[in-house]
Amino acid sequence: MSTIITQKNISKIFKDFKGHKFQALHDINLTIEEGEFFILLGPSGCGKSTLLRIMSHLESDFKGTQEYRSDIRREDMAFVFQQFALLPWLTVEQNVSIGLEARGELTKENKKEIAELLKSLGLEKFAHEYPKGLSGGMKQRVGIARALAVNPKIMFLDEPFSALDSFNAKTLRADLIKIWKERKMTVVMVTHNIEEALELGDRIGIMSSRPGTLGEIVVNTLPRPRELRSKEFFDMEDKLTSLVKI
Amino acid sequence: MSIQSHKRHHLIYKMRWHMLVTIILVIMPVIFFLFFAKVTSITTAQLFTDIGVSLARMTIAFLISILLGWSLAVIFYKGKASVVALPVFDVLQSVPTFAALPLAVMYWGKSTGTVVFFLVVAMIWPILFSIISSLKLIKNEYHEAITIYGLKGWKRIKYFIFPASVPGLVTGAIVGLGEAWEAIIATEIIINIRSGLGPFFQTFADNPKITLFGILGLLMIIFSINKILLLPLLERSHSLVEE
Repeated sequence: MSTIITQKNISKIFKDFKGHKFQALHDINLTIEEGEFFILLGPSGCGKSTLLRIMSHLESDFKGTQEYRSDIRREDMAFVFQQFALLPWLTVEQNVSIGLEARGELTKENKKEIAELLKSLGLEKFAHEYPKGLSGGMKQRVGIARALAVNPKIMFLDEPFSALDSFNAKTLRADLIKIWKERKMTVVMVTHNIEEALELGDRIGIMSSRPGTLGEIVVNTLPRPRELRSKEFFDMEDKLTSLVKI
Repeated sequence: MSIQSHKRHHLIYKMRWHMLVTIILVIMPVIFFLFFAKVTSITTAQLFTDIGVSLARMTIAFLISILLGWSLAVIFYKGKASVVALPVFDVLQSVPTFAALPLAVMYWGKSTGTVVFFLVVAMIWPILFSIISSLKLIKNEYHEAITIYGLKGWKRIKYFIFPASVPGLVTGAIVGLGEAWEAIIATEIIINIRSGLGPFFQTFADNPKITLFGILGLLMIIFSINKILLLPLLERSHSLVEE
């Protein structure tokens, strides 16, 4: 395993429309290793999504330095949004294909792969539907399929399950783990759900707010597949609960 | 290769009775004008020429306004340029349109060019501002999604900017056409052009029967255009951006 992203002394200040400054992130130092499932955990407003947006190039105005391994290009990254961000005028299939279309790589072969991808995520019957006809769980499946369609080396997920009911969230978490194992990609995910962090993550970075800082990085030693009702799981949960400051 | 189009088509008119209504809406004004010509002893050639000429001027001006309004909206709806451009547009749209008429007559004379220019000036602002409003309402997440997936240039316009602008485009077109119907009659009368609905109403200004029939006919055309084209488009365009 090698380091794929290195962040040094990352700080971010927001200004409101009156010009008042607000420090969202302060002096963050973090490395992401290739192939790991890294979780940024913290309460709302601690800057974890901002940090994820900086990592994924969605936010370019920040202080500090950020480096990627030399073979990593922007095209190697994909992003799954909390509120799905599916273009409502495109069908499921078109939404999923958008990354390949943007790169001019929507070949016949790739279209077949898209069809396979839709099938693997249970979306094949909805390929020609518009997002408004789908449930929240299905919309997020489309969001994940759109990310996977570009064969990313790094996948960023910003609270991908927080807009879903617990049943859908549970199923999608299991699917995500399966996809991550199959594709052997690096995943960086933001969540405020301790149980979710423990179920999914290899390492869990604990963030606290005002200003957003990165505290301890907990290595999740629980064996996979994770047993959510085990004593070890509850012990780890207690540990993380004590570390997360609201 | 573009995103493959799927086989399911979304027709504005899905049922037979819709088609029937459409046909009636097209035929109804024609029958009315034939009746009108017979009752008032105006030749059908003159009547249909006047209507046709005005409609042609409207169509040309409408297309120019759509193209120009949409392009300006896309260029200036955000970014540094919008800080300067939007107040300028706001001032320009407040300039009384008829104040520019003598200038246009000086340049183009008593011609279709003057009428079209005047119609564009009347139509472009509601179209422009309505599209700008639509584009400004695009969720930031959509911008981020297309940014991260690398949609740029022509494909960005095709798959993102254009679909997002359609509701504003249709709403602006409806308001703009409303303004233009008022403007076309007035302009054609003021510049004393030879043919069109303006000269028609001017010629028969002292004949209440013909004027009344003329206004009724005009309302019928406007109603038909709205019912056949604009209102279904409005409904469709808004359902397009529903999440």
